[in-house]
Amino acid sequence: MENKLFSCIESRLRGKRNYYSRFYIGPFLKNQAFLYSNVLRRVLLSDSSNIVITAVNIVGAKHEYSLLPGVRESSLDLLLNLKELVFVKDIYTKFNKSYFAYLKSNGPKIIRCSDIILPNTIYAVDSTQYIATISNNKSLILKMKLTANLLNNFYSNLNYELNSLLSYYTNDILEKTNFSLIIDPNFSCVNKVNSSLISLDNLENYNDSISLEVWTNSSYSPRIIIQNSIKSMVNLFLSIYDTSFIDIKLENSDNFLENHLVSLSNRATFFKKSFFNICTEFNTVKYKTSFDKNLTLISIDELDLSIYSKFLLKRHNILTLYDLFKIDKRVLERFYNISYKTLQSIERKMVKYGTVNK
Amino acid sequence: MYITPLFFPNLLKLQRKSFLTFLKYGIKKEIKKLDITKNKKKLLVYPNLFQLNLPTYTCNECVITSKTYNCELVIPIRLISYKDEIEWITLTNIPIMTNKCNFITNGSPRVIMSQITRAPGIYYHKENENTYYADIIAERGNWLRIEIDKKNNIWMKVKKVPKVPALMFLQALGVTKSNLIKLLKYPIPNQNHNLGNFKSQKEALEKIELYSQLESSINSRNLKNQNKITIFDRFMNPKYYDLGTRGRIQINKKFNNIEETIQHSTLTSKDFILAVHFLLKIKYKIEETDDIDNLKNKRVKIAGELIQSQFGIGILRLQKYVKDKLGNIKNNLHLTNIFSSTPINTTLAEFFGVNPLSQFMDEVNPLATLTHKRRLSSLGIGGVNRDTATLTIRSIHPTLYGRICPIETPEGKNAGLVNSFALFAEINSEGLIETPFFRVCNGRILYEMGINYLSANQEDKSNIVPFDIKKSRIGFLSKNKIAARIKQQFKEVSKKKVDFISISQLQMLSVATSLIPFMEHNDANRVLMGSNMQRQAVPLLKTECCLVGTGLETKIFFDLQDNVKSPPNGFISYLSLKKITISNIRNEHKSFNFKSNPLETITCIKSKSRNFNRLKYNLKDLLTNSKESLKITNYMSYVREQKIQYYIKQYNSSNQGTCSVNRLTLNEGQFIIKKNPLISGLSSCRNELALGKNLFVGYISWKGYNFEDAIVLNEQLVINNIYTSTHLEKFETEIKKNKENSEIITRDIKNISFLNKKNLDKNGIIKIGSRVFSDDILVGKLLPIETRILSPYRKLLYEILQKQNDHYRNTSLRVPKYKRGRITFVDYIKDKGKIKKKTEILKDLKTIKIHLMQNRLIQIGDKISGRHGNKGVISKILKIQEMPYLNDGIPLDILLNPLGVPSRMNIGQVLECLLGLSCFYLQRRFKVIPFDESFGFEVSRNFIYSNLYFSNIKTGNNWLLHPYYPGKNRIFDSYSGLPFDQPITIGKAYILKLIHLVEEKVHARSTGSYSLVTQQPLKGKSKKGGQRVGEMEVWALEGYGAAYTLHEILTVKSDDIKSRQKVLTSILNSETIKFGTTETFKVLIRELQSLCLNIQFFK
Repeated sequence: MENKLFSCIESRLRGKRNYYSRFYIGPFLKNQAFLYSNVLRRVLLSDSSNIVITAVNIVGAKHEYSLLPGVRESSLDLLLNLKELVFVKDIYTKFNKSYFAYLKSNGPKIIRCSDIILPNTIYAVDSTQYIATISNNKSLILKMKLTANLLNNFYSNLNYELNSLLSYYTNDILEKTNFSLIIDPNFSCVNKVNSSLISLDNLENYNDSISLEVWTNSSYSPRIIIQNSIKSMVNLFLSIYDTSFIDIKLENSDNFLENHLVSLSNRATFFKKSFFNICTEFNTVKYKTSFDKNLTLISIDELDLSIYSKFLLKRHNILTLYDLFKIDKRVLERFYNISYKTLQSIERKMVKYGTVNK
Repeated sequence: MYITPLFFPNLLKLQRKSFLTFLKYGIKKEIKKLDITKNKKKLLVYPNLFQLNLPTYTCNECVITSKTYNCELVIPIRLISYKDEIEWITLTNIPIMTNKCNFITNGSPRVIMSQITRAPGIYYHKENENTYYADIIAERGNWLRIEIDKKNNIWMKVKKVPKVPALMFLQALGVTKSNLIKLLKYPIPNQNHNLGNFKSQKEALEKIELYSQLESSINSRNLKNQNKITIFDRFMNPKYYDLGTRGRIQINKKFNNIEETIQHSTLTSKDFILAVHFLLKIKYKIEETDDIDNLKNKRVKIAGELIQSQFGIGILRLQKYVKDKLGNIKNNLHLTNIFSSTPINTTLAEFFGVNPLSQFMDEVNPLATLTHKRRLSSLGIGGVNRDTATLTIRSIHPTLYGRICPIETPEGKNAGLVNSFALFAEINSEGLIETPFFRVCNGRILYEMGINYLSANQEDKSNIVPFDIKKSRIGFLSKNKIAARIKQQFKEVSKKKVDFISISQLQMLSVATSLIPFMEHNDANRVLMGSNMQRQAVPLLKTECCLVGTGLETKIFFDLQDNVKSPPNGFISYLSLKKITISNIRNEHKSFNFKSNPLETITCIKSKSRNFNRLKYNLKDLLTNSKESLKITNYMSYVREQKIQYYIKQYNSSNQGTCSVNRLTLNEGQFIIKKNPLISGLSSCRNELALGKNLFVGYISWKGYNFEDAIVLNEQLVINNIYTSTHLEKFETEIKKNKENSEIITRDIKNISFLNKKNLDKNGIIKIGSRVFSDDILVGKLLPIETRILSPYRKLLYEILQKQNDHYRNTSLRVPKYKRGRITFVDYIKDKGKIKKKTEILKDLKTIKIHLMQNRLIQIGDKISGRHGNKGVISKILKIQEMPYLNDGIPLDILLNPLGVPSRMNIGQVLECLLGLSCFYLQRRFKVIPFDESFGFEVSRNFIYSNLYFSNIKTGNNWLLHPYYPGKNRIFDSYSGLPFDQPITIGKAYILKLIHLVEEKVHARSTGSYSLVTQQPLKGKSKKGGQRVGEMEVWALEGYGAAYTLHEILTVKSDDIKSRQKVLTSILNSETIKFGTTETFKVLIRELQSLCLNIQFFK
């Protein structure tokens, strides 16, 4: 087979937030082109590498429905406008870290994206993007939280659903940030992808190639987006690629059994390794050691507490010893209405399991 | 070409006009009836001099403070007794219609629907073969029925009274037998029985009395009761009977009786004779019976008239009240002592509160409010009963054309009884519905002659053709033979004989129905659903105009008067959503004086008046700089700079909980013309009614997820807030203050963790802006209770739970289950007025009002629909990469089941969807008036294909119209990347989100209250009821072998009272729960036994 070609045939900016490119990828054997084009399309569409505003504090607004003095938009409209802003990261932008941006303008003025004071590593794509209009002698002051790829720390850990501008679930992250207005983020920067096949139907070699059209919101060029998604795919497959399989050769029938055993042991280590990776990735906070693991298995029912205190604990979602272990003693006493006596008894019983409450 | 009439009356005109006539003439007319003389004391009323004072509160104040929007009716009254005095007396507070044509009573907007009833008069019916009867319907009084039965006896029938032979009755009135035979002209059948054999009037009277004594002996034992109403009184005494002028006219017309004057409001003996005479005529098949469903025999009462009749009752009550007072008060006789406003006030309040025609305004969206005001009900007092209404009353009658919409009516038990006015319908002075027509003469439409309104009785003898027939540019009818409507039949008529032509295709449709494009291609049942569902569409956060409309959207928007309008011309010098300042320059010296209002006010700031040359000033300077910068040299005239400030409400709330955040349509520095809208409110976009969103639709079944009207949705719609709506819930709590125990508002509530109290302020009331969830405390309240001596069991229980005996009971206001949102408004109301300072809060606090607002995203279980009655529930929300996509990569937004189209016969949705597709690619919008067949054969189809063809050519997407499968396209399966087997209909359709949201309906119960009588769990969400485990559910559990579940449900959870009470204790003591054998359980056993299973109880 000849060399594969990845080339950009056409690329143009249709408006400031619409970047279109067409690529040629190929040639492939006939069925393969189909396979890869579909995979590419789906991966591109599910991409979420954008950095967007996820939470806002507006001076003078206690909630989404409040009106701001001198501002033409209601704060709900303001949030919707902020949601549509497009930003770019650069290579120094740290992954999994929140950035803060600020805005302060005095009227009369039409506030656009260029008025936002952004961190050094983040840039606005379309500086003319409209935010609000303010009237004479009034000012608008905002603090915004920019987050990239919330997926890892947001969706997986918590029972989070996309559930409104309000974001009902008082979870830890939201409580810690002190932001009063929270926006459902849309991390995707790919607007539309279309893939079609170009078949070079010569009689002798029937090769197909993919023509991939990508529309992005200009935070990344389509080329980079494609490279990124290919990279993430390669990363994924490499992580589950088992090198030990290379050694198995069927021709060496003598060594087959031996090889097989070796490979099995290799596989065991491999699985151990990869599972460990997964575990550490997913549960960075919880279940670090085997000691903690044990605690999670023991329910607080085994502590033989009084019904009332058991009830109190369960009401606050403290179900296992591990949960209990995590919580500060003072917190228990102050917020959960647990008396000093019961605390002492809990402590005594915890000692039995080899742990002491903090 | 004269396609649509330029004339289009305001859609709320009916209600407004009716109420205005009540104010102008009705009040006067009713007050004239007030006539009081007693014991030589006389009261003189001057009805012409009555005055209505301006309302004390504005509409918005009324809504906020739960008051009634009304004005005081004052009238000068003169008392003539031993001394002569005259004084202004307030008779009542009349609720006043706002400019949106609704009333505000106790803070909630109410609408008075119009009522359609049978007009007073006489109507002949056929009951069976040879049995006929006549009903005489009066405006006030009993219905009278004159009947000729199988045995040819002629009877008079009144409700609750045994029947009386009619001819004997006439003889008792003084008509002699011979005269009677002479007058009736036709042979009287069964003469002996009917006429009797009386020698004198007295004899006949005695006979009739015998009949009526029968009645009195049944009803009351007091035979010689003075207040007894004789049968003669019932129809001859104006005290008990009133035909009304219209009834009198109808009767006179029916019998060609010219002699009787209109003023005579009761029945005369001549009427009776003529009625029997006519009945005989019908019996001998000389005359025909009447059609009661014909609109000419029905009368419409609109708000004004309904209020007027109630006002009349109030006046009567006042009269009685005043007479009593006059009799009682001996000394100190003053007018102010005699009169009181309560009698009329209570009657009016009764009307607004109790009458089924006065309803809570349907405020889901603007269209709903509009149609609610145009609704026409045959129910209510003096109307039909919903349970006994026959099919003929509910069905469509040819005279409905152009008057009442044949389509829009609710489904279910009210079908056909609650209708709505057609677009152009009007009411004439007789209370008949009229509709406009153009006159046609010799086959030419006389546009110049203007519009003729015809009522149902006027159009009886004329040929009427519909608007959508072929005609030339200047109005000549093209065809020689035209299908016309005459005498409620459809006949082919030569064009010279045509008298009238209707003025629009939409003439027979109501407002909501006329908003459906391509509705002529739909089955009527589905159009009915479509028009009803448009009224349920929730206003969305971001609105979008429809791509395919009918052209009525703008008209509706402007007739609503929903938006705030600019009071004068002027420049906008300050603009924000809180406040708008309009500056203008006035030549006049008049000073504006608007009433101040905390939320929505117009205040005037008078600036220094200056003299300057009008030609030289610079408006820009005037606005941006201070007033001092005006430097004007030449004296011309006094001109005043005026600033008008308009304060805007934060949001508009509605009765149904929908809510909209206001949006400005202006810019700062713009010039605004008087009466132009300042703010666009609910469901409007670019001055059009906008209820939904245009979505990419595909008619394809998707893995069974859209089976049976389920709908698959794209996740992008959720993420991009396309179907997000704002909702508002109002909570109100009263702080009880009795002598013994008064509630305390406090933050210290026992047994509640710090976290739950986090959002409360120091007084125990929730802070504005806090997020709340179900069961959070909104207002912390405690009610002190007497300390009781505890039973030892309770003591033990408290000991176990380590709970102290309380002196207070927790009566805090909490957020109801499954509700969440943000607190946006807290209002403290004192006994007298509002509290403004926070320090005063705890004293004299009476009620606390709390608003909870929430954005609801679309989610699985929400109901959405198109405009063609194609409704469904969302069953699955797919990621964007999983949706099927078009040839150019656009993923579909919504997947509908193709099987939803053929059996429902709503092809309009397909046409709309395809035209929408070409709209999307051509970047155009279309307004398609229904019934376009007059423009040619199959016009809608051709139009759609031609537009698709244009979009094919113009945009280069040559897949849009495929020659082999036009109107369908190949779309791609996102899982394989391959196209689906069959080409699929795709397009853009206008989809609405309906108010039936899961979030309001979700409900679960583990334990709860039980019905007192049956000891079974209650039903319904509001009562925290359970789901019924019916017969089939029991089978399912049996089939699954879920024995324990079944056991629990049929014993403890059902009517096993004893063991139900024991469950708690046995769980606490960790004992085994004992079950009894209940009736429901026995049924199960019997059922199993009947399956030949040997099941028995053993001890």
